[in-house]
Amino acid sequence: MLGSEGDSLTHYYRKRLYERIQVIRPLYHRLQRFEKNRLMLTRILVSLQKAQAFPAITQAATKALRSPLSEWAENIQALKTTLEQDETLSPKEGTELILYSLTTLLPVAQERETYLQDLQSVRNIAHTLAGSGGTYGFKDISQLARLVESAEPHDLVLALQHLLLLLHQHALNEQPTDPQAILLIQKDPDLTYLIQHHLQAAGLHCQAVQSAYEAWQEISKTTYPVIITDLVLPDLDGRRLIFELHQNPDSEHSKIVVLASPQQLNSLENISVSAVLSKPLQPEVLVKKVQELLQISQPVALPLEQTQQTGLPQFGALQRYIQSSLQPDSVLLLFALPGAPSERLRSFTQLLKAQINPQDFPANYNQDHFLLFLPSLADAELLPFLKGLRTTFASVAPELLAPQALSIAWNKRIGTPLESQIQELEQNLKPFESVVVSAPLLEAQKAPETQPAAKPIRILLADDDPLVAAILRFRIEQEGLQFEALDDGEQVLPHLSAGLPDLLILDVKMPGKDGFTVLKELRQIYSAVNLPVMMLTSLGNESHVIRGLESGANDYMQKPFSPDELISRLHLLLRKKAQRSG
Amino acid sequence: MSPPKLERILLVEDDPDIQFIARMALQRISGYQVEVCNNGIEALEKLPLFQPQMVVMDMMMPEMDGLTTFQEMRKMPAFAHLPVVIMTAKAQAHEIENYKREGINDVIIKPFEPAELGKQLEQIWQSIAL
Repeated sequence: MLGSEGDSLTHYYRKRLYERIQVIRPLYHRLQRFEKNRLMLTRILVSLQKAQAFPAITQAATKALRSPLSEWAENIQALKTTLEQDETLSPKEGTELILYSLTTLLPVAQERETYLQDLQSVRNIAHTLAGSGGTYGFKDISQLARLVESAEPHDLVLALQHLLLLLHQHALNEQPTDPQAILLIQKDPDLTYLIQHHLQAAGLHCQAVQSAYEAWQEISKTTYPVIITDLVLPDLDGRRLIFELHQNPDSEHSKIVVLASPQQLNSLENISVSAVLSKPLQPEVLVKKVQELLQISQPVALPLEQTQQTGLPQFGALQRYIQSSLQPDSVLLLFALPGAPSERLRSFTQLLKAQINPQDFPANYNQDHFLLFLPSLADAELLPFLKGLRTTFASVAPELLAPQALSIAWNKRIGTPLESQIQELEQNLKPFESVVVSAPLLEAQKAPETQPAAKPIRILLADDDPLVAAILRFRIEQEGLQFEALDDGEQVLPHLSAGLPDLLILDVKMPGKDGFTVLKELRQIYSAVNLPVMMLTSLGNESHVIRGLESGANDYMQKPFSPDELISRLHLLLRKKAQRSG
Repeated sequence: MSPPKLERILLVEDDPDIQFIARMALQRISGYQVEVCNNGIEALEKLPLFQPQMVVMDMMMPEMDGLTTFQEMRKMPAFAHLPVVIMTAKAQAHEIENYKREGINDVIIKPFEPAELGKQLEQIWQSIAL
């Protein structure tokens, strides 16, 4: 690798990403607006198509709908003329409304040149990022950028939104911005002063603006984890602003706190906010609320470190991410699509996106793996969600084969016993060739407060076959566990005395001492609880299995073994050990 | 009789980020003399001045793309046999085939591994010399 040069390169590139974001952001907003308006135009045209009593209109609308983008302006103008000139229509309700909508939306169709230019610019940037991302070690950027580069125009905006989010995760902004900054939108200067004063006293920096317009400018400059807004603003209804804040990629992760008078509380029913504080305001309550929100909103963007070989997130990084990200009921799904062509992976991705909310989507793409993390999904919703996925595969894209494997992991759940859930899942997920439901992700770390630095889990292998060692190293390190290997039976005991691993995998046939002798000797000193041992025996030699178990092995695997099975058994042993000693 | 050592490389690339990392990889780590051009036109101007032993070029560039630059280069008798390596993300078997048919010596697939770039070029250099 590049060593210390590598760090400075990464640093350089992450700063460059920040500059990229500044370029992409206005393009994204323009494209998004264009797509939104185009969608509205399409809807109007589709509804006009249904006006069967007026063939002229139906015809004109159909023609406009089917025309290429370059002829939209012309065809919609023709449709407008038809509508205006048809005398039988004039008294009809809605005609004026439609005419008005068409008139306001027509400029969109005329913005085609800008739109095409923007589209090209975005594709060029995506192409560049696809090339440089991987070279600088950011495979995820490469992959997502390639998706943007090849996306159809109507998919591009969504893909670009994901790319922007990902860039935000990796980008480094060296301008001094306070990560704990709070934005206050309040037109009353006295209340502003009061709130700022109290937040300041609690060590929190609060930026204040007076109007929605100023707020909009402010969030494009800085990311605010918490935004406090009044419902009454001089230029915009507070509820509308909240809606827009949720849509804006710059603020969609921000927690929003609303200040409302008791009479206004009813009007907030359908608005999603993190907290509503009633006026007259108690500053202490506000400060406490903001502190609470800052704690959970901190890991807005946490890059997932990836393993070199697979491009998948490292287990440890993922665990930290999940742990910091949230609630006890989050779910992680890992779809394996070995050998899937990129085309198929893309459609699969799109299917998944259609199924879930984009904000639940810090997903990861890889050549044949697809990782999906749902921050929150209740027990009762998991199965319907997975069934829904299956139905989608069957109905929307029958040509798309279901992915071959699905791994599911979730945080510790209370209630239904894990085993029965696993059974139910396996029965209900037939299209997947294999379903692996792993241990609750966080069980191993029961009390992170008392044990701040979790000890890495160490696996020791004693086997003289270098191929077995290589395979196991790869798979075990992929699980985020530490792996050590010895190739001689004589070395095992001295190695153990230097520090006990969490699990020993022991081959029967070895130079030096054979596995049985080693096992017998080590069981004199270490109990099966302290040191679980998994024996590797050759196939068809049942006497080996019996002898091994009698000498104190906790489990055995017959060679040749399936690495996946070994891994799941290994987790089981580790779990048992953790339960007994904990 | 061993071939001359590879020392002078002309890098043609429009993305400043790739320029930065490739220069770092080739100059600082592998110890080559590297001259960087932003596009094909600049490259054609710089060729006679710098006299590189090898050209490493991006495929997709504004103004003049990699292939056109390459063809222009081949028209100049002094550089008709200069080894040219292109860097591209479009590197399926048939695409590589096409490049080779055009006379391009070798292809480096993007994204490339910076620590390996020097070694890769050295290997290509050796194979051409044989």
